[in-house]
Amino acid sequence: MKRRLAAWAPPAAFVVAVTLAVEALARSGLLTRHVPPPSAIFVALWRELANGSLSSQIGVTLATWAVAFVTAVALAIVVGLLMGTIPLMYDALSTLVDLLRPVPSVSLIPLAVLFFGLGPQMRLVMIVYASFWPMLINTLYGVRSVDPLALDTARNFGLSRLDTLARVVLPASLAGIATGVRVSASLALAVTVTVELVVGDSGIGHYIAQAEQSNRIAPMYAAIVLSGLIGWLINAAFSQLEARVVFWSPASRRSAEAL
Amino acid sequence: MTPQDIDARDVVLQVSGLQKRYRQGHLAIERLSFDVRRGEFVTFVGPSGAGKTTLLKTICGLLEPTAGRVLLDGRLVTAPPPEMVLVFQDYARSLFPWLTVAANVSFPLRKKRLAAGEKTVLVDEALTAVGLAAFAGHYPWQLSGGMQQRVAIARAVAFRSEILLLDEPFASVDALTRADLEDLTLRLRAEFGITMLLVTHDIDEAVYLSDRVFVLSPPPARVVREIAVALPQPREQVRTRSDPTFLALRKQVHELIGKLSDPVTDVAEPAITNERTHAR
Repeated sequence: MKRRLAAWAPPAAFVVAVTLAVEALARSGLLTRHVPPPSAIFVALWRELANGSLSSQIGVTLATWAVAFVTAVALAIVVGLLMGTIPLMYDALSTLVDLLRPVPSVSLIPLAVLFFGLGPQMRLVMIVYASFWPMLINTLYGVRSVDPLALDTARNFGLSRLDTLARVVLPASLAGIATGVRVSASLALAVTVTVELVVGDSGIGHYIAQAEQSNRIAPMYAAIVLSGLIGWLINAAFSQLEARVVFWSPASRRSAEAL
Repeated sequence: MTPQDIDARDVVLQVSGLQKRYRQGHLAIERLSFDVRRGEFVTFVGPSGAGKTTLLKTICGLLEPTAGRVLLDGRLVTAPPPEMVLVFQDYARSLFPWLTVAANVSFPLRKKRLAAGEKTVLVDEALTAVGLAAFAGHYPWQLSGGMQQRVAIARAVAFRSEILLLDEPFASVDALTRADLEDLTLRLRAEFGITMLLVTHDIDEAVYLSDRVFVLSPPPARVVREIAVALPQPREQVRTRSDPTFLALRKQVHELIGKLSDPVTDVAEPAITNERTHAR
């Protein structure tokens, strides 16, 4: 417990110090009026959460995020396992993957609007598309990094191909899959807020855009801080999950020893 | 089983004209022929890179031979048969880190369709035989290297493997652990009657453990000499290793391998192939 506290204290102290510094700068008038003091942002955050105008948007954003994220993860694991275990699939798809992956997903928003209109369907497609890639790449990396010696061991004991997939390849790929889940979760949230902001009619992103247009600067910051906090919580939750699921990976073992 | 019980006519493994050429054209094994009797401890010793791992993988059906054949109890080996288990040098990579020691040992048993109780008995017996009964609930990465290799051996014992193919299994552990593991394999052979095929570059180990030693040439691997080890059983680290016969055999193998690694000597001379030398 003491050691946990020691690990938390320096980063927490730094965050508090930066916040206090910005507070002092903003209050001294050295910054433009575009930067309100953090205290004003937190007051606005509290007020907007309490009166429901911002808190009602959290559920909207998280619902969109969850549906799209789960879809992307499921799709990517299936495609990743197929590509990773069937050489023909890998040869056929790898170039396509390499070509599509670097296209910034936001640049496809106009295209998505053309195809799917401005409704929720378009937002979901955008988020699934964006978060699919890191999930696929990490799954693929996991499957392809399965030790040939582990596969030899399975063959030596006469395991069928299906048994080998379920009892050796899948668990061995779990480290890559768990990393993909964590990275995709954060990315999916960022893209959710982005599409809400650009073309949405609800959610935290839409709230940010509206606050900016009506010149309500402190609430705008409040919503940005809120989306940052949610992203941080999501990443922390999935990091914990990763360490628990892949408890045997060298990285998890190190962090377990550090605690 | 003691070597006195070994019946010269009871051949379990027949390897004839075995050749393995890799797709890149590189020849790893050249015309290897030998018989192994049930319960025998046979060692292949040769310089590093002599295709020793390839030899074991080809014998147990993990690699397909380019020519020649392997007969196990008279049946042609085309895929890994359940009677043969390969123990890799790299124990850490062949054990599954997400499974406990007990689960690793019972990993191959699922195929055998045993009752849950029988499985537990096999696992307990194997872990007790390698002295790891107290570590059943640990994970492999919580154990030392020597203990991990014991888990890999226990897995083969629980699987009721009749032939263990040992690929330099003690090369990555310290000297004391190594002596322990050597004696463990001798005990397992006596207790379970397992036939042992070992490849190593350690000449002392080869002589200490074996009934017969095959000296391999530099690649492509051929048997250049077959040596019967006439040392009394049971072997015992200090006594056996100071036996004059042990020292003479050790010297003989050393000189042979030294000559083989000497580029001036013509090692390809077919006259010495499979020549039998008895150390008595």
